[in-house]
Amino acid sequence: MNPNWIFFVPWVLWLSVATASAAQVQPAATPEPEKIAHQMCDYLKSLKQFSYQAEVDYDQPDPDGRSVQYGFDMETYVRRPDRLRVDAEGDGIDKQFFFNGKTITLYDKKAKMYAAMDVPPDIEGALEKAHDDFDLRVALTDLASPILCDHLSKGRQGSRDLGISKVGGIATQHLVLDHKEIRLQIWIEVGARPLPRKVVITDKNLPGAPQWTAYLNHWNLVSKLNETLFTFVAPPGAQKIQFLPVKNPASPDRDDAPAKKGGHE
Amino acid sequence: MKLSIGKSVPIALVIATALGFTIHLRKAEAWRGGYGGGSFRGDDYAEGPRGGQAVETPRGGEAAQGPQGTEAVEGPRGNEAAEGPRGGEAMQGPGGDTAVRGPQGNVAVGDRVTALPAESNRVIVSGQTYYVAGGVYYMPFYYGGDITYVVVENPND
Repeated sequence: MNPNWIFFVPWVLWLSVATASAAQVQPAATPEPEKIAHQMCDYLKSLKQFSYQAEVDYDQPDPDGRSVQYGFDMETYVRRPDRLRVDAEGDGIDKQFFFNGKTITLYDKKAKMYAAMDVPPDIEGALEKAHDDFDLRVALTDLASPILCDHLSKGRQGSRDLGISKVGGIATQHLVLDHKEIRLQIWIEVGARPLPRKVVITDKNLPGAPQWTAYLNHWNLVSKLNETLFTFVAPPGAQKIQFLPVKNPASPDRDDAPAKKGGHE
Repeated sequence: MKLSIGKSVPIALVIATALGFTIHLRKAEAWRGGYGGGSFRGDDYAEGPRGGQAVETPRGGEAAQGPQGTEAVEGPRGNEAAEGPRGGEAMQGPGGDTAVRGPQGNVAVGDRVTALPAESNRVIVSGQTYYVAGGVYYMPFYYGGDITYVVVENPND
């Protein structure tokens, strides 16, 4: 054997061991944002019933790009597969949303007006019909959808995991999900209960990039939610009105709509 | 075109739309704050705003008019600005092409406003509630999650 080889053998062995050791102590790969989001979606979907509260702040833009901020508080109750209720009270808002498995009812307590629509007998179907036919969206109700992650991923252009952040003292994973016009940020609780703890939606293109922010707290995953919670009973004096359908055949937004008769809207 | 609205709202809607009665709806809000914000559903969420619509205040009317418009800026109470959610002055929209006028303005049947004129009175015709101001009749509806008022024909005609 060449004496030079004898000289190199220990070094080669040392390098092999060192390389293997380095591989062992490397930190685990950063979890993919999609994977974390799906853990949240799957966990929420697995819950038979839950409720939570939310504090919401949102920007109201000004033409010069500056915004003022308004807010309201929400309480949401979900019982799968076909019950949902949302109460919201705050700046300019005092509303109750009911889904009882057959109809969606929206009641404005301040105006004492309510309207109801027949909907499919499941949460996703009901929310989709309300959105498609009447442009009705209610904050964070999509968290109750069994296909939440399909909604989150629609049109997504990129995602990032910004790491651990505390929300209300709770360790969360901070995700950024970018869409063409909208940036969605979600803070998802770390651990066995991957619940959303904070949501921020930013319109990236409007002046001032207005934001809609919700802090979700008081999650209750165990209390039994009674049927009365999802049943709307019209208070005395409440006035029943109708939802205006979006697909109004005379709507000027439709290509085949008749010419606008006048007015300003 | 005279429409006898008031016997039944759904029937009135069907008849109205079938006859070409135009309810001036918008395709999408520019910015969904408030109760309708925080939704992950629909094209708006993915695609964002379309068109230069004015941003509405949570409770106030669409007092603002954007630079594209040709109408004078006028709030739903004549020359007053619409109120914000706490009764204060509303902020203006970012350049929408809509404007709302009070009953003295050129309102037309089918126009939609988010706040009634201050001097409006509630009246009930054939069991249906209307609001009347300056001879103009408004019928309340939900448009999305917000109460809106559509200018209708005089239900007594």
